[in-house]
Amino acid sequence: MKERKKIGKNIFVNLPISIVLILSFSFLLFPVYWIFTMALKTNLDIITYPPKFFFKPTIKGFQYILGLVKVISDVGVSAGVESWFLVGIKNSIIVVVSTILISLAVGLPAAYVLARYKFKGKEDIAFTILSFRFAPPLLVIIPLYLLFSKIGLYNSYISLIWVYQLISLPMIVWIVRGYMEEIPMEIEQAGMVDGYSRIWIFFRLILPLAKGGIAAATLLAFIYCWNNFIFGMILAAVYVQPVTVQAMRYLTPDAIMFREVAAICIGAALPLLILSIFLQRYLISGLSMGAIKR
Amino acid sequence: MPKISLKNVTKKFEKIVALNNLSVEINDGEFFIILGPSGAGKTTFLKVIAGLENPENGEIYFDGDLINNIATAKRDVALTFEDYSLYPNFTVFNNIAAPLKSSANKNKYNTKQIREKVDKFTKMLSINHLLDRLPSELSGGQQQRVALGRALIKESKVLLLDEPLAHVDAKIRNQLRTEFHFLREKFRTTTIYTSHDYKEAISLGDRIMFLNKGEIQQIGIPEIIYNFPKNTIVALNVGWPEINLFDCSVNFENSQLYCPKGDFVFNISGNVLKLLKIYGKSEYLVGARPHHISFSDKPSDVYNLKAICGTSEVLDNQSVFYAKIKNLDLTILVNDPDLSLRYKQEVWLSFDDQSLIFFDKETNENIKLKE
Repeated sequence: MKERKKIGKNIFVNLPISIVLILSFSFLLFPVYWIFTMALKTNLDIITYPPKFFFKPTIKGFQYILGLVKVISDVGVSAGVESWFLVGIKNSIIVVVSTILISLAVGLPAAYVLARYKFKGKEDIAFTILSFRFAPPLLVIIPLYLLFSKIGLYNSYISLIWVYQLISLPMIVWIVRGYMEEIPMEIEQAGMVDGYSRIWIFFRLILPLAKGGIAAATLLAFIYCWNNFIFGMILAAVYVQPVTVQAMRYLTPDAIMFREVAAICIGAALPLLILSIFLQRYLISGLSMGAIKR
Repeated sequence: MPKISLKNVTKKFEKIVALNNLSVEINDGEFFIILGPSGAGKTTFLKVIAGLENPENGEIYFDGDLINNIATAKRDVALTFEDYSLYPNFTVFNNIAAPLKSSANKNKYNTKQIREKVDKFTKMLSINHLLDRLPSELSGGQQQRVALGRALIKESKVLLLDEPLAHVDAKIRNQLRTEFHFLREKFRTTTIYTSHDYKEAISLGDRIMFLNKGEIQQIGIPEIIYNFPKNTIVALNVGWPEINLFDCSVNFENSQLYCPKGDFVFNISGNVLKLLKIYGKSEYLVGARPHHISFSDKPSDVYNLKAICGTSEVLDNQSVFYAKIKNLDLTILVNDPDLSLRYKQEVWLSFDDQSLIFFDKETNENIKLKE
C-alpha cells in the first residue's frame, strides 16, 4: 500500500496523468466555450476563416432573443418580432415541470410497489416500463403524430406531457426503486408494529428516506426531458414548442443567425445549471448512499 | 395480559424452513426466553407472533383467540428489532411518541398527554436529555434505549424483544440487563425475549426455549436447561467453557467407564451404574462440564488419570486450562485465578461421576429425560 502511494506521488507518473486530464477536459469543454464566444460575436466574426479567438464582444444576440431589441441581426433579416426564446422557455417549463410532477406522482408509488411487494409478473411490468427507453423516438414519432392529429391533441401541452412520460417515467421508477430497496424492511415493520398504515409509512418514512434518490432521478429526468427536441418539433407548432425547437426560428430561409442560435443554446442550458446546483446537495448524499446508519 | 399459544406453526422462506412445526404455550406475564444460535429462527418466531410474517401452517392464539388473520397494527404487541430500526428521520421524541400518534390510537392522547408519557418513559430509561437528537447522533446503547422506549410506551399486552443486548458493548450490556430485571418486575407484561447468550437467558428467563434450525430442542426453567440439557446441541450451547463430550462404554461387572479415545477407565458409583443399567445400552456419549473435572499435581486414589497440560487462561476469579489424555482433549474450569501450571506439565484428573450427563449415542438425547 505504502509503495503504491509513493509511486502515485511520483512526478513522472502524475505529470502525464495531469496532462491527459487537462487535454480531455479541454476537449469536452471546448464546444461550450466556443458556443459562448459565438453568442458574443458578430455574424461576420463567426463565419470568418481562420476562426477568430480575439474579437470585440457584443451582447446584441442576447438582447435580440430576449426581444429587447427590435432591430434584427446584423444581416438585416428579422425572424419576427416575438422573443421566441421566452416563448420556448415558458413552454419548456410548463411541459417539463408538469411531466416531472406526473411522473413523480405515478412513479414513486410504482417504485415502492416494485421494491416491496411480491406479485406475479412484477419483473415483467418493471421491464416493460424500462423498455419505453429502448425504442428510438423516430420509430414511434410518425404513428404518434397521426394518432394525436386524429384525437385532436396535436399542438397541445397535453400531447407533449403525455409523450415525455416515455422519457421520465422509466428513469424515476427504476432509479427510485433501487433506493427504496436499500431501505431496511425492518423500519417499515417497526411502523406497522407502532400501528401505522402502509400509506403513512410510504409518505412519512419511505419518501423522506429515499429523497436522495428521488432528487437524483428527478434531476436526470428533468435534463432528458428539457433537452428533448424531436417530440416538440413533430407534435407541436410554434406557440407550444419547447425552447430547444425554438432555436430553429433563427435558421431562416434568408440567413442562418448563428449568434442568436448560440445565445439561445446558452439561455436554454441555464435553468438546468441552476437546478443542478440547487439539487447538488441531495445528489451527493443520494448517490453516496449509506444515508441510513445500520 | 394474554397467554400466547402456537400450534404446529411452520414458516418457510423459499426453501429454507425457518420454523418447523412449532407448538408452544407462553403463560400470562411470563418472561420467556428464546435461546439459540444465529439462524435458529428466533427473529422469525417473534415476527410471526407480531404478524409481520405469515406462517404457512399452524395457528397462533392470544388468550384462546385465533389471531392469524389480524393485522400487526391491531395485535397489541410491541417489538424491538435487533438493529433497533428507529425512524432515521425522526427525533428521539418523535420516535418514542410514534406509537401514541398512530392511527391505531387515533385521538386517544392529546399533545400534553403525549409529552407527559414520553417524559415518564424517557426518565425511566435515562434518555431524557436526548429527546431532540436524531438516531444517527446516538450511541448503540442509547439507540437501544430509544427502541425500548418506543416499545414500552405502547403499554401493550405482549412485549417482544429481539436480541436487545446483542450489539451493545459489555458495560452497557450489564447495565441494561439489570434494567430488564427491573422492567420485568415493574410491568409483568408477557415478554418474549430472544438471545444467543445463555448467561443472559439464565439470568432473565422464567422459562427458556432452546431453538435450533427452526426446531424446539428443549423448553424449561433455566436450572433444567443447564443441568439437564435435552440433547447434545443444548448441552454444547449452554454453558461456557463448552461441555466436554466423549464416547464411553460401560463395564457393568466392575462398574467402570472406558473411554477409547483417551484409553482410560474410571470408576462410577452404584446409583449412576443403576441408571445406565435401567437404560440398558452400553455405549454412551458422556458430557462433563468443565467445572466438574478437578485436578491435582500429584497422583492419588482419587486423582488417577494422567493428563498433559496444554495452555491456560485466567477469567476474573477463575481459570480455564486445556489438558490432554492420549487423544482426548478436555477443558477444565477451576475456581482459582492463580494457576501455576506449566505448558506440557503432568496433571492428575478426576471426574465427578454424579454430575456426568449421559447421552444416547445414536439419538444424542439425554437418557435421564428419555421419558
